[in-house]
Amino acid sequence: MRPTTHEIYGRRRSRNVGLGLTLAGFVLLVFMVTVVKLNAGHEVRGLQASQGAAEMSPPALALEAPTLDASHIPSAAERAAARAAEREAGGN
Amino acid sequence: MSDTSWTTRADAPEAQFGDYVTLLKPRVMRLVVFTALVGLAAAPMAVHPVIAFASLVCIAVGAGASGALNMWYDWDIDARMRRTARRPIPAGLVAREEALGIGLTLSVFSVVMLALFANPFAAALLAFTIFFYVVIYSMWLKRATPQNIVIGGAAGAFPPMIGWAVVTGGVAVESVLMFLVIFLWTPPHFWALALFRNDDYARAGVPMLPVVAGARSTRVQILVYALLLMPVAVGIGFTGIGGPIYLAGATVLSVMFARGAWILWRRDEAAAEADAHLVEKRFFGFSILYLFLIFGLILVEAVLAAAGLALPALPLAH
Repeated sequence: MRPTTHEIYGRRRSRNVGLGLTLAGFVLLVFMVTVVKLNAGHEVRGLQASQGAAEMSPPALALEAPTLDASHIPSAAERAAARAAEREAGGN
Repeated sequence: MSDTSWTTRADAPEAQFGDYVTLLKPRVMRLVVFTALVGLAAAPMAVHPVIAFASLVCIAVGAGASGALNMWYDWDIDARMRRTARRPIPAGLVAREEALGIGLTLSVFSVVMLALFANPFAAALLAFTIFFYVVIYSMWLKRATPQNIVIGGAAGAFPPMIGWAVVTGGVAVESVLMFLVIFLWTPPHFWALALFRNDDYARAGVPMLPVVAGARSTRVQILVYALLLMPVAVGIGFTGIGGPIYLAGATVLSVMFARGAWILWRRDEAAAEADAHLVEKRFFGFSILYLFLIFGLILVEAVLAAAGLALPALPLAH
């Protein structure tokens, strides 16, 4: 039996509404999963940060060690003296 | 738009949204979702409820996609069988190409989304399940051998393993046992149906066991599979997902299932014809209830364990 034009419109409307609801549901699902995963990631990063801070504490003192000072670039003689001092220290 | 094109469009079949849903075999999907949910709930760890829900949606869509691909491939068989003649493709509501497009798209989509939502292993299992159902069962075994449902039944047995893998990212004895329950349950379930739908399968040229080997051989094999199923179903009671409630329920149900198979085995075709296959139909109905209750009992044990109300474990359980 050939469907009437009215029936065809009804069926198309049913398809469009169904597809629209399905897509909306999918978007909502992806959004919810994203929120959950981001929260989980945040918790993991928070945990790693706290563990990391605990492990980093002693070496953090190294921040007080001399750093490269752009205003004083060691000369070749100074570098040679430093290497000689290191060799001497290694030998002891 | 010209009058001619309008006439052409008006003549074309117009499917409703529900016809596309039918294409995804919602009844099969229900069983898939339920068994996957049980696999997910019984796993020794837990996932966020949103991740669990999203994963179940992916598994359901994957199962639906394989259903659509099955209908695309088997449209000629479906058109010749009373049980399937009103499916969307033989009814002329959905074009074959459309079913193929929907099936392939949803297959890829469900697998990719499951990999993103849960883990790649669960997604790989889902992909293998779709492949197994469509290529191994539908395209190859279904038309080639009377053992089609035995090997093809594996496709329906994977969902609890996928649910388990969503949580654990792997396989365990428990998930394999859940797989085996469905795997061994499938042949007696479908052969009982085939006993009273024999003419349907014969007309469609599907070599189901009663068509090829006869009803007597089918009744023997139903009993064999029901007996093989019993130790597997009861054995779950001694694993980490079982417990006293499951063990008691599964034992009673499995004895009833085996008894039903025994009664079928004792009947001959004259008796079956005399009561219009009443016993076969009852056994088929009970087989659906059996699987639902077995997995329901696993779910009960999982819920009790989560609530801290589980009864003391059995000696072999860990």
